[in-house]
Amino acid sequence: MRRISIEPVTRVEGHLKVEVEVSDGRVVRAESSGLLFRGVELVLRGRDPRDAPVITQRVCGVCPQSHGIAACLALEAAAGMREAVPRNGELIRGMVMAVQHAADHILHFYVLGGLDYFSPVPHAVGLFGPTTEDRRLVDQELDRMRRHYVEALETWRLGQEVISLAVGRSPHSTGLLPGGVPLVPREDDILAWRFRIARMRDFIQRCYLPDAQLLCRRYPEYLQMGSAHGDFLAYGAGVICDSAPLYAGFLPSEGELHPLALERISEGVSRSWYRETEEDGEAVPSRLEPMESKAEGYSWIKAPRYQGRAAEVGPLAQLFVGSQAGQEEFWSQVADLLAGAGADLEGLSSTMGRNLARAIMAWLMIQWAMQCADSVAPGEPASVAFEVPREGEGIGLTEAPRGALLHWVVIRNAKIASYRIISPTTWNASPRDHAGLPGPMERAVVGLPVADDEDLTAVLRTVRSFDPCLACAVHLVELKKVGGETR
Amino acid sequence: MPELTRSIKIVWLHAVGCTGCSISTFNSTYPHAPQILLEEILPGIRVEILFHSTLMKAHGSRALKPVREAAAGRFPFLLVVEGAIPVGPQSYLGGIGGGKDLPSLVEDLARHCTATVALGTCAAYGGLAAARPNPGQCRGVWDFLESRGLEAAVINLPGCPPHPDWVIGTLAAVAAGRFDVTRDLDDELRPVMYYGTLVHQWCPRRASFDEGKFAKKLGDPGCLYELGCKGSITYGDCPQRHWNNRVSWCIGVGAPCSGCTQPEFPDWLGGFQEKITDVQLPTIGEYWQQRRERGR
Repeated sequence: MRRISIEPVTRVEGHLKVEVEVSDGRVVRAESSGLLFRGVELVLRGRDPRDAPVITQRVCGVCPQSHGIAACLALEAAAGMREAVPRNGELIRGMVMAVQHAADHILHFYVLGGLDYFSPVPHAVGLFGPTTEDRRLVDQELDRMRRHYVEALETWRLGQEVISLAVGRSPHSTGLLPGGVPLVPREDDILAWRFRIARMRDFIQRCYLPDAQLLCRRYPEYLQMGSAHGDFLAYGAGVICDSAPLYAGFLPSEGELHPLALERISEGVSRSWYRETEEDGEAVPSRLEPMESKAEGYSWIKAPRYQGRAAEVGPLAQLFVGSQAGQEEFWSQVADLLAGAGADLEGLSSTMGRNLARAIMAWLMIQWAMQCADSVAPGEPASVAFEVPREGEGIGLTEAPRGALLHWVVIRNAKIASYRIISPTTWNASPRDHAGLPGPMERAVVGLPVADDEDLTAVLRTVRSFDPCLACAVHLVELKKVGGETR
Repeated sequence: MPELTRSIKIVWLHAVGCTGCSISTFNSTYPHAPQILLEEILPGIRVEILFHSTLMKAHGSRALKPVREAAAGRFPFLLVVEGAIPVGPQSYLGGIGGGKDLPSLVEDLARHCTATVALGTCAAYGGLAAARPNPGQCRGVWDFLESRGLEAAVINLPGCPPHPDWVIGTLAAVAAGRFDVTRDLDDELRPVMYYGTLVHQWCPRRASFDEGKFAKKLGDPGCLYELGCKGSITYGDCPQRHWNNRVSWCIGVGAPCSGCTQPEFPDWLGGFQEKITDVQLPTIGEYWQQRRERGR
C-alpha cells in the first residue's frame, strides 16, 4: 500500500489537494482537501441585505453571476416579492445564467480539463509542459484542438461581453440586484446579445460538441470508470422562465426521482477543520469556528448530504434529473448527442460522461439563452423597487455551471442575521461525514488504475471531470439544517 | 535586422481570493488570451508565465519546480500575487503545497523578485478577503511585506476585479522596460495612467449630477448618486475605457459604481446602495487628498 499526495491539483479553481492510497495498481481510498479558508458568510453578517449579491459574487470569480442570482432570489423570497420581479428581469437573469454556463463549460473543456488529453501548443514547454500522457488523438485532430483552443478563449470572452452588456462588466457584475436588473433593455441591446449568443451557439455546435464526442470515442474506457455511484441532485434554474433546460429533484442510484425536499439536506463537519459542539448536525443551531488543528480533520470543505447520501451535482446530475423530470423534447435532443459519442445514459456516470454531459448542457443552455434574449420586451423595465424587510428568511436555489447552488438568508432588524451558502463543489469535493461516507469525488477515484511509476493520469482526469471550484467550496461557517429553526 | 525579444518571467500566485482577477485578465481583447499565453503580447515582448495554477499543465511537485527555483533566487522574475495574504492561524494549514504555508512562500518570493504586482483589491489592500470581521486575518501584500520588514517594490493593480487593460498594460510596460515605479505610481501605489481620474469626472451621467437630476430607483435615468453610486470618490478610468472588450460597464447598465478599486472597498464606503454620507462632494481629484490630510 502506498500513499500518494497530489498538491497542488492544477487546472481547477483554487487550492485543492488529493491524496490516494494505492494497492495492486488501483486506488483503494482517497481524500480530497480544500486548503484555503475564506469565510464570506461571516463577512455578510450584520450588513445591509442588499449588499449580498455584490459580496457573494466575490465567492467565485469564475461563476460570480450564479452567486449574484442566487442571492437576489434569496432576498426576494425573504421580502415576499419573488413574483413582483418583472418578466424582463427574470429573462435577463436567465440569459446571463445560460451564457455563463455555456462559456464556463467551454473554458473547462479547452483550457482546464481538456489539457489532460491534448495540448494548445505543439511543443510541450513552459506553462504547457510536460507532454500529455496517454495521447490518442492523431496529428490532424491535435491541430484542430489547437485551433479550437484559441477560438474557445474568444468564444468564452464573447459570453463575458453578453453578460457585460446586460448586467455590467464581468466578473462581478454590479447589475444583479434584488428587484431585478437595472437595465431598461432596448432593441439594440437585444440585438447585441443575440449576435454574440449566435456565435457562441455556432462554436458549440461546430467545435465543442464534436470534440467532446471525439474524446469519448478515443477514450471509451473512461466511459466505464470514474463513477461516483450515481446519487444526483439538481435544483433547477430558479428564475421564472418556462423554457429552462434545468430541472429540480433528487435521483438516488437505485430508484425514482424524488421531488426536492430541502429539509433533507444536512451539512456535517466531523472531518472538516471546524469546531463542533454537541448539537451540531441537528436542528439546534450552533455557530462553527474554524479550527487550525483537529486530528481527524483534513479539509476546509464541509460535508453536505441529502438524506444522508453524498449526492453528485453538476451537468451530469442536470442531465440525469432532466432525463426523468424533463419533457420529451429535452430527452430526444440528449439521446442523439449521446449516440454520436458512442455513449448512453447508463454509461454516462463516468469520467468522460461528465465531460460529455457538460458539452450537452452547454448546447442546451446556449439555446435557452437565445430564447430568453428573444423574449425580452424592449423598452419595458426589468426591475422593481426592493424594500428591505425588517424580518424575513429566504432561500435562493439555482444551478451554477458546476451544479446545485443554495443561498439562504435570515434578516433581523433589516440586517443580515445569518447567511449560508452550499455551493456545488461543496457537494462534489466534500470530505467524509460522521458516518465515514466519502464525498462523490473521493468515491469516483476509487478503483482507478495507477501504474507503478506513479502515473496519476486517470485520477487527475477524473478529479478534473468534476470541474472543481475550491473558492466556492470553502466558504463557511454556520451549521444548521436548512429550513430548520433559526436564531 | 531581427528585433530582440524582451521577455519577463512571471510567477503568478493565488492567495486568498476568488480567481476573478485571472478571469478578468484573460478577458483581454488586445492582446487576446491566446496571444498572452502562447505568443508575444507585442512584437518583441513576451510575458512568460512560469507558474499559474489555474492554467498550467503540470501538477504537484513538478508544477512547483519554477516556484522553488524562483524562491531560491535562480533567475529574475516578476511576482504576481492575486488575493490577500492570510496571517491568522488557519493559514498555516493551507497553501499551494511543497510544505510551505502561504505567508512564508510569498515572503521568500518577494525577497528575490524584481517587483511584486499586487493584483486586485484583495492583494493591494485586503479587499473583500479582509472585510469585517476579516475571518482569515488577511492583509494586502504591501502591508504584509512591510510587517515582515521587507521593503519591496510593489505595484498595486486594484479593482474587484481589475480591468484587463490595466493588468496587461502594466505588465507590458514593465516587460518593455518602460515602467518606473518611482515615477508612474500614485500614493496608493497604483499606476497613474489607469487610476489617475475619478469615475465621476468622465461619467456619462455627470451632466445629470450637475443639474441635480437623480435616479430615485433602479432603471431611472439620471445620476445614480442617491442610489449609492461611489463613482464620485473612486479612482479608475472605467467611464472612458468601459469593460469586456469595451462593450459596457457598471454605470452603463444603470448599476451604481461599487468603488471596487479603492483601498476602502468594501467596508468604508457605506452600503453599496446607500448614498455616501460623510462627504462634502469633492472638487474633482481632491477628495482623497482632503481625506488624507484629515487622517482617515
